[in-house]
Amino acid sequence: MRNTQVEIRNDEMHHRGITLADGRYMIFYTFGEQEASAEEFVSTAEREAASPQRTTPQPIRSRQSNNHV
Amino acid sequence: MSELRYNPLLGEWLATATHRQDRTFLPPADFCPLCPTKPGHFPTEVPEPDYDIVAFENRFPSLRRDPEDPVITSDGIYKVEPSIGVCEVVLYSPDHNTSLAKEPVEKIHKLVRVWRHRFEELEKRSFVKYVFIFENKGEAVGVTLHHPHGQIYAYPFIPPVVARELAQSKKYFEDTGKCLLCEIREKESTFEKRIVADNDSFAAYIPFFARYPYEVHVSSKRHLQAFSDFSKAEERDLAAILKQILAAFDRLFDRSFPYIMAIHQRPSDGADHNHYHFHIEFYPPMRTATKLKYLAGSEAGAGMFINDTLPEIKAAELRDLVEPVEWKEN
Repeated sequence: MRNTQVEIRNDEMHHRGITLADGRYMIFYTFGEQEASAEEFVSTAEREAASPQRTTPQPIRSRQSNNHV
Repeated sequence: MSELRYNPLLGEWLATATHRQDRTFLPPADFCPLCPTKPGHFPTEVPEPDYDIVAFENRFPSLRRDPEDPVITSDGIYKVEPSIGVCEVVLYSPDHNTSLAKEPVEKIHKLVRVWRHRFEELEKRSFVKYVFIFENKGEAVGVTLHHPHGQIYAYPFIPPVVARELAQSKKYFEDTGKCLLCEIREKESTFEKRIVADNDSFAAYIPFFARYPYEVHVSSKRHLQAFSDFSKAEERDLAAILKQILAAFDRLFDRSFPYIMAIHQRPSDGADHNHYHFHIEFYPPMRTATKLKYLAGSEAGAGMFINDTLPEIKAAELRDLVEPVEWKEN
């Protein structure tokens, strides 16, 4: 079974991270054209997320939830 | 509270994770913690309504970046370690009622790229030795939340199933100079009767040695070890063949088809694993429209699976349900 494909345009991947109140990270992925301002914010959050030793979290949103998986 | 305990009898690690007993269990759709938070409603796990895909750390993880000390100390053959690692949840959509099978191929293509990014990000961490991307779909495989999602575990060791595949692949490579999974894929492509779907970059088949009736494997035609080796065309071809398989699964019994999807890539321990080969394995628990395949005495107690069906026949059933994939231009 073969597929028909067309070239996909404007499909650049963007990601933007936040740190939740309890220190966990959350990364939003979007695709296509986007505003320029998000990139710097993302890299800061991801540096935080990538650190094996958790530093003091910088909560961007304070929230409680009843998660989950 | 969680920790890693070593099983000296089997030579493998397991995690205790007592806090997971209290996690949310099959809530009604109106109280799904994975749906985006709606104005005036209870705060869910996801504070923003508009996204394509979201990845975040599990609130009830088996492995943590900053684990507690174990509650018990190592004693000779009984080794204990902190449960260091990462457990992520990957939400496929803000829509509670969709599934990967229902999503267009363009969305699956986006997910493939997110998987690649998560793999590349997680394997940068010094304590991560293996990044395991998977999905549990359906209550039949133990899902506790129906919102469409997958998971990623970044382990501090190579997990035992992958370790066995690595050992077999290494031995085959040393004996023959060939990749075992390349050989399997080529054998299935030549035989044809167990092929379910095929494109330029991937083949999907129910292997000669399938343990479950509808155990589809998707293997790359090029000798790749991980998402990070993929070309752009291979990312699209993987999305296309996944769309075909998942849609065929749902057509099989005219229902949302449960499965475990396990993505097997090379470890992230810095060693050479060129003898290994990227592939995806599906373990669907259904053997008929009304019957499940249980792991009973022989499977659970002795490790020998008994498959009540022939892969050649089940592959033909699925193959007849595979439809071409149509891409829409963005």
